[in-house]
Amino acid sequence: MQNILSALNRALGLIISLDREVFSIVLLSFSVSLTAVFFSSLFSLPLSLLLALKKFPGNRFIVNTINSLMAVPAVAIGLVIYLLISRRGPLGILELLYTPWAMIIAQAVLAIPIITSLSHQTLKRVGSMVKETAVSLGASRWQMVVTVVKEAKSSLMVAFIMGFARVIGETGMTMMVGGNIKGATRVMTTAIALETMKGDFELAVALGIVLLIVAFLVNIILQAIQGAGR
Amino acid sequence: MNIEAKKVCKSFNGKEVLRNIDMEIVESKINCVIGPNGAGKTTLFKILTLLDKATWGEVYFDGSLSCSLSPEQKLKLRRKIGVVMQNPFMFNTSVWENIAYGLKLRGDNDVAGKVEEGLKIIELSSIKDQSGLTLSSGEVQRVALARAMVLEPEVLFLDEPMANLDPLSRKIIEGLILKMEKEDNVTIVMATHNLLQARRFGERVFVLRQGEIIQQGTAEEVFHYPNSSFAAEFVEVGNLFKGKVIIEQGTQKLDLGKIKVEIVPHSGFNKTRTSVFVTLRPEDILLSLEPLHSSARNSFLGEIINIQDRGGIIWVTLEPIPRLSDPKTESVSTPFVAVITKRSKEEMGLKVGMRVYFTFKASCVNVFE
Repeated sequence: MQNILSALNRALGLIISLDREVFSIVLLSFSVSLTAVFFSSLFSLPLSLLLALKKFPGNRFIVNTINSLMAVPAVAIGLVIYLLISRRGPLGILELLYTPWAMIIAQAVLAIPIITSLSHQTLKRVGSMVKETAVSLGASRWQMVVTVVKEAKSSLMVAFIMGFARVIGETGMTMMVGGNIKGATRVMTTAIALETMKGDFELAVALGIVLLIVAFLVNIILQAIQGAGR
Repeated sequence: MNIEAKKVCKSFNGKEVLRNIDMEIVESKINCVIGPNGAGKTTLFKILTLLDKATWGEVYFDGSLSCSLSPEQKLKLRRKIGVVMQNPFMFNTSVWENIAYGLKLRGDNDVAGKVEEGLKIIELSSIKDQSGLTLSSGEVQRVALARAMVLEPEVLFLDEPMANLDPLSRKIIEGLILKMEKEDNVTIVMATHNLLQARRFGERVFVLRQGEIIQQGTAEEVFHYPNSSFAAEFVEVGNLFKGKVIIEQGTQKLDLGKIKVEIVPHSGFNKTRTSVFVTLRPEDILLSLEPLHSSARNSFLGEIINIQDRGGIIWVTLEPIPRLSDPKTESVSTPFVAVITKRSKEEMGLKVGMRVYFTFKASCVNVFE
């Protein structure tokens, strides 16, 4: 008990004093995960719009595949990305392994099915009504798509945040492709895992608190968005 | 704009929703499509407004085939057609923005002026800043109508525009529809299952049943001479009977069981014992306490079995009493409904159980197979 309390005490000290190491790890975590969500959204949003608004052969198959991909364990994604970008892999020439970009790629791949699936559900729900109304009022195809996105924006926001929450808490996969290199690819989750194994709880608890705060904040934002939406 | 559908069919997952629809919309008039729920009115509207495609058949807009148009031509065409769906969708923004939506899409240079004008017409200027999602159903209908109307369409499709509305909203919307037709020469196509509305507004009436147009014509034709028992029941002609064509003393008559009704000789029913349907409008029946000596070919004695006040007019239901000279009668109940005014009822002292004469002309009897 004494151990936990003193670790907690020192951890709070680290956070309040804006310890350089804690700060840089938190910053890297956020920049990696936000970038990953940004890239997956670039892919997921058009895909979910296409799947929700356009009927074409294979539409249902793609939706089912994406829904199944949500169940793929992150470690498996980590392994595939590792094999692709490792020195002997097909993308080895890019020398991405153990860089923040490796983590961004892996996290983006992990987030794509989540964001696509959630966006698709929401767009499917409001999409047909919005589409029909917009078109009947004279919207061109692009004007219609913009209107649909605008109408679904709060639900789409929820999908992005859910994707972010999933990837920022990811450990094993991030460690596999990032390498947990101090000052280069050490993010909150990998640092917590390492420090705990070392028996150095101070930093681990400090980062754990930050991670918890992030989780709470995400939840509060989600609830605010859902409350403000329809 | 001239809109014409030729042999239009529509199926969803193999289920036929519309069958062989042939219709031509009368320009600058109110056209009514009547039919029960599920008859296919909404699907038909979606095809006629280019929101959906027909599985089979063609729709012509000013003579050009809809499926041969380029996307740009289609957009141009769609912008001349206004639609208000049955349960209009409101965008998650203010009433003002909802009405401005279509104008902004078109890059109109007087958005504010037109929106304010629209708000004034639907009498909702006071709630222009309110969210579109918080409106009552009557307000939603009014805003949806204004949203379509400010775009000054050549043709306006209204799907059940007055279903489930409060009296004020109904009055406003009715007024607007009439104004658009009379003053702005807008062609209006209205789906409704309110028959009074169709009768009052409709220049041309289309009766839709299970995806088929079973009758079309002027409102007068459809309401007075329905061509099927379904149309007759649907337009509530009041008196609908099944009977057999017989020839009695050289005259074509209809045997309704208890009485035989004289009709205008109909060459289509030369064969006797043909089973036919007969309709007779309640307002074509005259009630009298004494037998009438008139040119009307049909006059019978009947017993009043029900008197119902329907808001100022009285519906009197009579059961005919077979003539003594007519021994071969069946005892099937064939109650006739007649409409009279409250004053007539009081002056004649009509009561349930009383016997009165009811008279109607042979030419008022509508016969169809």
